[in-house]
Amino acid sequence: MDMLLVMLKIGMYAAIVIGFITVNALFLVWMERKVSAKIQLRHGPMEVGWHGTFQTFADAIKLFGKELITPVNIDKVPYLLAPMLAMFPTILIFLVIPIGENLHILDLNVGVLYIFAFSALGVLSIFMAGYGSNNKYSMLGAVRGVAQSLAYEIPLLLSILGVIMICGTLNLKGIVMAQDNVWFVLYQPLAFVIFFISTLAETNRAPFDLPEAESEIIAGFHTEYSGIRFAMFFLSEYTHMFIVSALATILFLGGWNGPFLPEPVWFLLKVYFLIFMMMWIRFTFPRIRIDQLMTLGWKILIPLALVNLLVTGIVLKL
Amino acid sequence: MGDFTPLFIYGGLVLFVTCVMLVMTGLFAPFRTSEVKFQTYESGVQAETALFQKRFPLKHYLVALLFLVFDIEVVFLYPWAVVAKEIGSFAFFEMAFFMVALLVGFAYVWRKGGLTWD
Amino acid sequence: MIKELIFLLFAGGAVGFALLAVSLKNLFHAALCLAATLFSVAGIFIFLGSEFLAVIQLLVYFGAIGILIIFTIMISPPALLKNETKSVSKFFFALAAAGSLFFILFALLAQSTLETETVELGLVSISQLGTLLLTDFVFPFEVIALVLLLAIVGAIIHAWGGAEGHE
Repeated sequence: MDMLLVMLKIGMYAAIVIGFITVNALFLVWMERKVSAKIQLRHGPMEVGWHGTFQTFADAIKLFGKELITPVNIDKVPYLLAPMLAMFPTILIFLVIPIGENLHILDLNVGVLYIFAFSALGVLSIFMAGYGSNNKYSMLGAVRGVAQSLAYEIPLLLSILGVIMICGTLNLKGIVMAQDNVWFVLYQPLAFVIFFISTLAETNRAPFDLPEAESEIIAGFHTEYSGIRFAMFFLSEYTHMFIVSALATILFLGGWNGPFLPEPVWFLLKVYFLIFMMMWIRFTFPRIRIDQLMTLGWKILIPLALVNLLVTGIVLKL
Repeated sequence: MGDFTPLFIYGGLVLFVTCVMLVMTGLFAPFRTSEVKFQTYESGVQAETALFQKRFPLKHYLVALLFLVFDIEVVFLYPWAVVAKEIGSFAFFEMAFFMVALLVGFAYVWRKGGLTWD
Repeated sequence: MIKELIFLLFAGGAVGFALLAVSLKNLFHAALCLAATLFSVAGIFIFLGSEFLAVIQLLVYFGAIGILIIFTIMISPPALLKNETKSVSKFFFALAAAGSLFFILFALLAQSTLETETVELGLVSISQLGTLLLTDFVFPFEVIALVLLLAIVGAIIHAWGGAEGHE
């Protein structure tokens, strides 16, 4: 019976995580539409529910009832596997994110790297979608997406090293505990900026949204997807936004630490503030060119991250 | 070792649920066939569908190669960063040597124009 | 019980996907199978008690080498991507090459005496790993730095088809 209990517990966790991911994505889509509307002096969705709160629920139900169009010229196996492979890692990553001192499902000693390892699976799903669709727009989008993720993963990994050096652990909980008094953003402001820019590129958000630049390549790697398959890419994209913001909160903004309010509230407040920043940036900056993208990644962010690492090391040893 | 069995079961469960989601909507969704609908998308004109037989010129190849090398270097930095506070100065200089090798490689690539997009 | 089943799943996955990777005609599918093999190996590392290695396996092998191999397939000449008919002479050459490698390795392994003893598997923590890298294994560690430096130089030369390939 003990086994059954464990199974039930795991099932419950899965239900909670999948439920949260869905609600989070619906909320973020609504939030994005509202933020963009306010920035562009519009109102955004207003009809369904209070200030259009239920607009995205209606959209989601519509999306689930849509026909699944499977083009004739595709490469079947990668095409059908790609949406699954996009969803799978995001749900797994959620396990390790601690939203409170005792509110986490899995406490891993390699938490930080675990998140990056499973993000690597997402990169492959982009490539499978692009290649499997047998459409030049999908292919172009996929190649751009993969190259971009690869180029910005190095500054991302390097910028975190400073934080790791200060607190001496890769455990996400341990990192937050080390920030009881001072948030690491004060010790590592440069690393935070590098991290934030790199995560924008990793999640294919504007101004780094070349993989799905709709004015050039239709919709990028998910041009040929419809209905629930498209929804899965969409869901994984918005979940990825939450994940990188949560990671930034844990690493630099003190995680759940904060006065008066309960821990999860503080955590979610910080995460959604960072996501709001990402949306603000999207509707402020124009899309950058691919050569600018590569120059920024390799020639500016990586050297800066290395300098940051060097300075941190020297200060720690003094 | 830590017991990771729940993690594996969770992973299996998640895979199962995503499969079910994909199959379920296939049952609900309408299905009307039409030859044009299932063509590859190409804003109204005849689509290019011979991609599988074509060579796809990639400037991104060098990016992938460089990424691989730097990724391995960074991975070696992680165990070091965890113990950076406790280890002695000698170990610190060992790491410095490692970093210098990385920097020389980086400078070489930069000098050769490998980081420039043309 | 469940633990053994999961282990068998990963081990079987590693072997099965590896076999598929070498036997599939479609190169892209073969590369995907290789990625699946690498993923399964990461699972096996967890059973060996090294979560760090498992994560690194995913990050470096799955995320970097897997992608690199797929990129390589993309730029390989179209003739390679076509479903080629099997030729008998090729088969024998392949057999001879693989066979000779097997015999060399077998001969070497037969000469050496392997000490077999049961070692208690302990959790290898990252800090232990870091300390070991910088004390006991510092020489290999620094050699790795040089090898990686060579790899960078090699990557540039290889990608441009010779040192003078790029102006």
